[in-house]
Amino acid sequence: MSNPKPYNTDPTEVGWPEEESLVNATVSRRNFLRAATLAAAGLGLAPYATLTGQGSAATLDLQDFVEIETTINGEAMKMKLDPRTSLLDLLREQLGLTGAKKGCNQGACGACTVHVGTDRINACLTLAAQIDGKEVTTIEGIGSAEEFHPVQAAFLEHDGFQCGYCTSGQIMSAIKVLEDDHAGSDAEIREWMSGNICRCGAYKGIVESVKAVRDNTLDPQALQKGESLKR
Amino acid sequence: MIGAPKTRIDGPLKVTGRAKYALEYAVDRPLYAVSVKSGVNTGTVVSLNAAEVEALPGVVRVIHAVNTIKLQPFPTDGSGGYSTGDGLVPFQDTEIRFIGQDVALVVAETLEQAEYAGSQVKIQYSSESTEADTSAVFEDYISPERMQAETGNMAAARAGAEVTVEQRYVVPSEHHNALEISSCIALWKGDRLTMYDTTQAVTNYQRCTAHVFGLPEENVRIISKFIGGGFGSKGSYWATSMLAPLAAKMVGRPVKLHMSRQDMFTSSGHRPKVYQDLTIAGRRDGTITGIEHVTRSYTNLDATYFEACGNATKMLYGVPNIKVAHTYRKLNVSSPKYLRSPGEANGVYALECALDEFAHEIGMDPVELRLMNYADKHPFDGKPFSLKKLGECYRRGGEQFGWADRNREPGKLVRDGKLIGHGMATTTYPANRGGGACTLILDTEGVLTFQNAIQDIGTGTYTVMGQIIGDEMGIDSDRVRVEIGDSDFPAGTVSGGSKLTASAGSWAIIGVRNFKSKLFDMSVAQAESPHYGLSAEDLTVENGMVKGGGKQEPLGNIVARSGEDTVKYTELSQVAKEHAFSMMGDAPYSFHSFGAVFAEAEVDPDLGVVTIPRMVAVFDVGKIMNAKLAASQFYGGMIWGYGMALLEESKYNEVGRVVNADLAEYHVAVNADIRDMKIDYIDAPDYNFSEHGGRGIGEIGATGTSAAIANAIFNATGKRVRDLPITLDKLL
Repeated sequence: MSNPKPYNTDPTEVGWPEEESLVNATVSRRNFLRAATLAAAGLGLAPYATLTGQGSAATLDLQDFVEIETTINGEAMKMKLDPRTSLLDLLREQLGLTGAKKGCNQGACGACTVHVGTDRINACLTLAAQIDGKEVTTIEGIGSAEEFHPVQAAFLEHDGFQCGYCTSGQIMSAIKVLEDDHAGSDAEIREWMSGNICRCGAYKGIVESVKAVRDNTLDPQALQKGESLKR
Repeated sequence: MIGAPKTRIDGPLKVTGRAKYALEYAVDRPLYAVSVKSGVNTGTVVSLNAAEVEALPGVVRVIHAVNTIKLQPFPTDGSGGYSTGDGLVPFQDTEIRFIGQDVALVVAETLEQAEYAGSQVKIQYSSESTEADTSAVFEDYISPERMQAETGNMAAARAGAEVTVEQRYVVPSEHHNALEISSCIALWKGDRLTMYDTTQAVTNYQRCTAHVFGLPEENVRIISKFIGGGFGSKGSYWATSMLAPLAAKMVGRPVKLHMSRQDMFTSSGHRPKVYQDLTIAGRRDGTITGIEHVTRSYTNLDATYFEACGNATKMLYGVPNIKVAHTYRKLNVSSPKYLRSPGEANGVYALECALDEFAHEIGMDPVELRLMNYADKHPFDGKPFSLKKLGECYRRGGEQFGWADRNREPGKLVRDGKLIGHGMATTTYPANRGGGACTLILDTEGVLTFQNAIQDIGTGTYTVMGQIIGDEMGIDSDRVRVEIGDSDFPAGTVSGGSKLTASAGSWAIIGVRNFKSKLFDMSVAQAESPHYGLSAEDLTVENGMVKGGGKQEPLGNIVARSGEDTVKYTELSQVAKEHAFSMMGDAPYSFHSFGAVFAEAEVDPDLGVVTIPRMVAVFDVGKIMNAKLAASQFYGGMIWGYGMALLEESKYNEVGRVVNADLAEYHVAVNADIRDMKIDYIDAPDYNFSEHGGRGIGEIGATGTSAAIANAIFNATGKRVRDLPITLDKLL
């Protein structure tokens, strides 16, 4: 019996008439940016986008904007932005990279954890202007098109989450905790993962996930993404 | 299969950051809104510098009581079955009732502009704050009849008692702090409204929104595919979900309403501080003859909610004389409301600590005391419990924990310079069921689609519904497509009160049974069917194959022969469109879940620092639907109990302002707090209660754990701290 699609892997992709409920008069910001990036790359020029939220630039005083060049998930970008913009709001509201979450907006919960260079940081406490010249990696840049990062696969296997809202931040932290060799014992893992609050209380699964990657106990098959997740 | 430890089907989206929560939908040219809240708790708004703020860059509109469009208030008599937070509809007058009430909404082109402009709003009030002390609840209180109950004669029990324990236990106000802040996007197309919201009750939000905006229900579509935790804060309907559509309607563009973490401390409910006076009366042989449980708390001015701490006291032990009375005082504070395990969490804490004190007083083992006073039927109405395996929970939990080795005398066990203690508590939560409806669609490939306006708040509904439906249909759960989180589907019940799986799962099973009959009827009437001419009763489905009369074929063939792409069936319960479902009252049973929690406490005698090295809990919750996901929920619940015992407290000042309204000052458990935890469950199906035998597991982990920890700390130190949280200063 054939199973044409991997049902059940993406509940949002079924029964979801997005085109009906969204006023899709213009391309979405993210698609626009991507298109701009690709087009510019083809010409050998740095991509350029004036990021003014999704609103009208006419109401903004552009001379006050700051210009930055940065690389996000491997894509070089150049942009002008409101200097008040946090890295988290830049990612979520302007680039459509909503994987990093806003839980407290003051560096207390860790849901917005991303990597800047070799560090894990709270994107809500970082002004977007501070990433000028830096490389940013978000959860969207983790793993490959075909495969999960081992930490992602481990979180699935060990149920290291429930609602999923802290999960991006937990995974971004866990990757660095492992890379930085802070996963020597359960107590060490717990301590170094304590900047990321999980209100559902999936801490046991989170510790098990980190240990599974440390000890390399994951089934390689667990890394394979389902069809609908490949990118 | 039901019970299998299947990995979450929505997990891949969550670990890749692709699961979309309310504020993450791309809408065209949205405006951003932030709410400005009142700084006082009474009086009226006299002036507001709206024109000044509207002149700031990017600001499109400041919406407030003077320029708002009219919205329809909720009926004050409770009719209509709307489950609201505080019942207030924003901006409809200038009156202020609590600190944190929405006074103005600033709408701007960008989030940065909205946030800055919001900070520039200046409001003049007619009055300063009046006193609203959440501790001043011992006078001017009321106690409506619905908040009182007595069986037997408690006064006589008290008078005749050999031993009486009489103590006051205090649980402070607490906030849910779901990690996803309540926020939403609203967009209008003519008189049709779509909202991307975060809710534990899609159907309720649809009905409430339609009411407020005077729309037919079908004109309102609530989409809530992923919810970043709720814990009670997102089931009732609050102003947040009215503000975004209000603004979007007034400015004619989609609006993204960004609430803040601080807003969550005033605008989505909380557990109120409750003073609980417990009296346990009994004999030296361990017979408890009477329990009295009187609580003093507060509610908001409109008195929409009271914390029913005494409900568990009414049913947990086989005691002839029980008296429960709740009182509250109306205060100018934001409304308290359901928070994970409402009533039971703090009620069971007090009751189970009082029992521990009674056991200590008469020199009896706490487990033995509970077994001596075991209830086989509900003490108030005499109904037997639908299925009760609590005795097995005590036995199994005690064995796994090593309870028999416990040192009964407090303060005597020292390990590595730390005081060690062991405590236990019973845990319980009622089993609830609501109505519901669903649509089932079978295609020619044999894939079954289930549609219901329920939602997955992290509890695993996507996964578990597939398992339940697959089992009943006779197909693999991977061939069930679960479509939920959208009010366009048939009405669903709330993810609250531990009842979603029992409710939606039961209605789905009934629906699948009826759908199968319909399919079998079709098959035996189809001339090309291998089962043509057989009786429909002779057919079954196993592993996706329809079997009967020695022949079999794939399930989808019945659809293929029909000439249609799909066959569809809708199951409607008799209360499908009601929110306040109640089908429990007339049942011949009393429906409750039970469990036993055991905890070890380690206390530093010099610093008062408490750690909980290990906990064991065994639950009697009926059939388990998914072993992996159930364990996560139990552990998560117990961590809530841990936080309640040791960390969580919303500190209100004398005018009802939360002074620690953020995640830095409001302490929730972090990874480093949590040590060894083990859970187990009886896994006995309760078919008296639900079609699949499950009873619901969301709240019971959060109940009982706090008492087990408090009792363990007493056993370790000999100090009985009766006001939570048990912070180190209270142990020095």
